Amino acid sequence: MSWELIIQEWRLLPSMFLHVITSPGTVATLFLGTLIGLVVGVLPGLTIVMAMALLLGFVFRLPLEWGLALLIGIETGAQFSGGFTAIMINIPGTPAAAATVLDGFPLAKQGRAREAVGAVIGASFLGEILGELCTLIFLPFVTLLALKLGDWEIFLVTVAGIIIAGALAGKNPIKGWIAGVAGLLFAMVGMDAIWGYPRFGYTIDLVKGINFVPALIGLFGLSEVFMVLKEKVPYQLTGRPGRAIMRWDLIFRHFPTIVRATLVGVGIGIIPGIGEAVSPWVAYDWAKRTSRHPEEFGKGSFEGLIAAETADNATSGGALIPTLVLGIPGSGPTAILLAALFIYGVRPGPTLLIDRPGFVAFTVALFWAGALMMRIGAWLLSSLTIRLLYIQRELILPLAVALGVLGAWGSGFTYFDVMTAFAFGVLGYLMRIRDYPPAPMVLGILIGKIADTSLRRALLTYSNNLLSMFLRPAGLILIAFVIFLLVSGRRIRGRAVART
Amino acid sequence: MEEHGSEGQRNAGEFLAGIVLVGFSIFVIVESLRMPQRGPIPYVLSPGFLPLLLGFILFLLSTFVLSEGIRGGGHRKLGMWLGGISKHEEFWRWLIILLMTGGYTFVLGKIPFWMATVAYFLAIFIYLRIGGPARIAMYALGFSLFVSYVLPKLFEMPLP
Repeated sequence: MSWELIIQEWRLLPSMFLHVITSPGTVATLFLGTLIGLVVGVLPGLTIVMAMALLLGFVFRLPLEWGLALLIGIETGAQFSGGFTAIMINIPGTPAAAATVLDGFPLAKQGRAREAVGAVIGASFLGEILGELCTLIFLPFVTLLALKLGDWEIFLVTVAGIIIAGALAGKNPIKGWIAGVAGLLFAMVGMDAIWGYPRFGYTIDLVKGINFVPALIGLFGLSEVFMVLKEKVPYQLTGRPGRAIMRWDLIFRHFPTIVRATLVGVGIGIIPGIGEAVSPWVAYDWAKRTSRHPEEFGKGSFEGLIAAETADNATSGGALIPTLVLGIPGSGPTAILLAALFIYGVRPGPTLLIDRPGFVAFTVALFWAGALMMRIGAWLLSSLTIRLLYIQRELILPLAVALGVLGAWGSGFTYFDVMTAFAFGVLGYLMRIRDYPPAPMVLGILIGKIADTSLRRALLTYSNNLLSMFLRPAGLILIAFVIFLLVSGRRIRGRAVART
Repeated sequence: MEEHGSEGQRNAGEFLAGIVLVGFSIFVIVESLRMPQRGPIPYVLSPGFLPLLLGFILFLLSTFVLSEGIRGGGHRKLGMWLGGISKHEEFWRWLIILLMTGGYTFVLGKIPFWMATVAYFLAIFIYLRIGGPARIAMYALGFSLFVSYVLPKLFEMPLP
């Protein structure tokens, strides 16, 4: 990839950004997209991909700039608001916000919901801006790295994700890992992608497999309803509702954490399919390892909250790279973006920088404008949205059940999905009363199929010489990383407990 | 349900969870071994390879939990713990809410979605005593309208 082409995109970025923010049509569609994204992220069960896919048919009636603005708006909007519900009602709106729950909800219970939402607005904004900037600066290097990652390395990243989530999400890493492994096993149910064999397919519904959306709704949403409403007097959020409090001092104090989380987000975002689910956990883990106060993590640490949210939003930058320069979508939303680009006759791939000079800069500018608009809008609307989620739990949680049921139904339009959500709700409740965290299980269900396919594809590729698979340089680094995570997982927790 | 009970009750819970997990992992291992073996390296490329691997890992991890439960004498206190669960008020509240939610999911497709949603909201709001009849009716109808009309219209979603 020629440096001249990259530098050309760098040069065009300021003018592209100016062009985007001064085009009324683009700004209006971007704003509409962020509003739709905000709603989608807040409602459990409605996913970013679902909303983007539903609007795809409408998008191609719009000009290219407006269509892309609408889709990018939805992505940036939903990414932010998924973390918002995680803070306010302990139910992440998107799978990527599962790590946000760890510190966001304890902060809300301490009466610091407005500060937590403010921190999320700031961190997610910086994550988005820095993530896209890194995309553009490191375009040739990251593309090279993306090409180096094969199936074996993708499998190892999924393993690392489960180990990290398992070690961090609960009080006992063993229980976290059990939840993660069980999640991976649930993902194995259904038709296997390599040989087409129906694993654990005892009924027709099971042959189709377990959809992660109903599982997410059950494990986080319904189990939370059971946990809270079984109390005669359910908890109520303390502190006064009102507009989010922007704590810029916190953002500046944790700027190194933001930079590290951005790099994690961009780096992991390039891995197709798993980036957004794994990166917040890796960033959270790194933040905890380098923090002066690791004992506060999981009890209401702004540093942990900022790390998870920054990485979540920076991932869209990383996911953009394989989509634009290789034509391989790095995540669900970017797969929809890729489809939209094809509809408009744009051919993403190595020749994109030559065929359409300035297009990468334009896309980055759209993400920046979307991030800016979303956060200003979120801050202005936060007074209303925070007030809404402050209402008594006896009212809001039954509403979450009905929305969850609708979301589970909408994920596949089968009764099996609704029953799956309910079954996972009961399982989630039983897990939580025995201190098994549900987050690693959701992650396992989400990335299990990718882990299985990539491992077996790697084994097929290297079936003549398995040793050469284990000796791949990137794989060796990841194996060392996985061993390090396993060894240090318990030790770090022990140190944190000792400090408290 | 016991959540912050005594050490003995905790160990009884650990023991029961360990038994269930070990049983589940053995089921996974047996089922994985029954899956067809294909490809140049038969077992490694079989559809059951990763489930088998995960089954073994789950078995190992579950034995930690089980041994912790046994070390703490959980197997001796299991009967007492299970017998004591039904005496907790929280258990009954959980069960009633579970039955209401389960009933709501079960009747979908058998009666119109809006009707099931209104009935669910009315039942749960009455049980949770959120206020007088007017308040209950207002919230039940308002929320039902939002869930079974506004949202499906907005996202062009067919209803159960």
